[in-house]
Amino acid sequence: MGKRIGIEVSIAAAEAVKQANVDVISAYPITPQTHIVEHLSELVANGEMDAEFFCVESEHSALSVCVGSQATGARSFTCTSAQGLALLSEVTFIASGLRLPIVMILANRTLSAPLSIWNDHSDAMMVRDCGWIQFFTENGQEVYDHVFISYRVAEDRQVLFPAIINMDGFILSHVIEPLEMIEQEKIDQFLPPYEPLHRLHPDKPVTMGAFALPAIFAETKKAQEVALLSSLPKILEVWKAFGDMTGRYYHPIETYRAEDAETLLVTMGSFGETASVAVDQMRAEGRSVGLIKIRLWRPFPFNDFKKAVQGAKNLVVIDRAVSPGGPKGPVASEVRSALFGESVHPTVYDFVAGISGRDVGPSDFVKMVDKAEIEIEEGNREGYELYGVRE
Amino acid sequence: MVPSLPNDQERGRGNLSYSKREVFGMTKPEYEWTWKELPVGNVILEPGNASQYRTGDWKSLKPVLKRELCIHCGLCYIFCPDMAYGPDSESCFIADLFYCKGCGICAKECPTGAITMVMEEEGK
Repeated sequence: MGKRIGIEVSIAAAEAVKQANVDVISAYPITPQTHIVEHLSELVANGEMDAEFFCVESEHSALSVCVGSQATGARSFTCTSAQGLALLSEVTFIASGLRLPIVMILANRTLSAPLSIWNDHSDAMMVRDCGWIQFFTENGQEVYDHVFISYRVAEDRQVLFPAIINMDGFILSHVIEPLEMIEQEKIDQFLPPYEPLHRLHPDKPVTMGAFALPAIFAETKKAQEVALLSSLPKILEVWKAFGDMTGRYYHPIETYRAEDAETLLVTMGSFGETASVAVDQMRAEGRSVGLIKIRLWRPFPFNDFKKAVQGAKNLVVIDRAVSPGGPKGPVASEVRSALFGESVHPTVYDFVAGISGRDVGPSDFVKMVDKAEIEIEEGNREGYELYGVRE
Repeated sequence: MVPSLPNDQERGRGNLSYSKREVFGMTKPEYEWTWKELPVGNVILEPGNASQYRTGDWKSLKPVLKRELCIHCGLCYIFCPDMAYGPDSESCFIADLFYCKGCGICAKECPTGAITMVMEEEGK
């Protein structure tokens, strides 16, 4: 069992990057991701970490450097938030198209305008379709663990996709939590050195990033889509191996007191812990309420999700981003799509809550469940509300 | 010293027409590839195969040289953005029409007016 210490989650994330033997770090500081980059630059400058740290002039360059370094066979890392992600978003599609297993931590933050440094998932939803594997984490331990998990999954020859680890800005990034650090020997066993399938090397020249005419583009996208969907069994395999090593087992869909629950809350990210407190309260009152947490956002685990919500009457989805002019919140829209083909399925009520870091406490989850249950009972099949907005 | 371009036989492209030529630069034409056969990340594993790509069929105008005006200065060779120019046996610079896109920069730069751009189908 590893050492359990109190540590700021951002520092723990940086320590994980060090333990993962990353060769190249290229990042540009932006709130609330800053502490991760600061700590990594200290580790490299002090000689505690054998890596190149690239101080680039923008996030676009940050990920571009990672694309180049990963293409030469160097294990590469970057991290960003909101506006920084927007600037580098162009390169996210390139990294996945080239199948380069870069790992990026996204300290989730609201996209401007209005300008805000606080947390929500509008940045993550912006790159929903960028073709990366995307995890959402609930606490600091999960962030730390998923650095190793992400590299092992991403670099697998059967996978070869970049991965995003979403962590809620401030709510996770700036909090000191008790974390179990894993011994280096165990990490080295779990995460072997990166052996690229193709690399840029003068001994065997290859071309990466050539253009494709319409006659072949659709074939490239089909290959990419099938490969991303096929990464799910490998992700499960790596989670299993990680669980066997640490005792912490992860699943694409996590459930909490969900058995036989009539109403299920559905959350992503740090909402999960708060919602579980609310579920405990409601269960204590004899109410039939449970919790579903989506950990794997891409590839979306449709079968696991359908299985987890089977038998429930109501789903109360808590989104943390607005999809203006779209089909309600992005998570609810995904959930509705997942269930559309089922002959019997729960009714979905969607709340968008906690945008731009507004506090959502256990009592708020209770209120949302109250409202959804009443309205669904009254026949509202398409409930949607931007929770807590003053009229 | 100006390096000369390989001829068609040296490139191994013979008299193949465009329709039979691979464009993606691999072992068969791009429209014959299925999605299952593509290399991961669409990496091109054969170095230098861009030379097999016929950019020449993009053009509508082609350069024609009046040999008696050519002073062998090589400006067409220097300015050609596609490196389509090379010297022939008489040390005149000639555009390889397999690559020439017909941009006309050579004709613009030629100090003696030896190069004129003509409609491809009329200039035979």
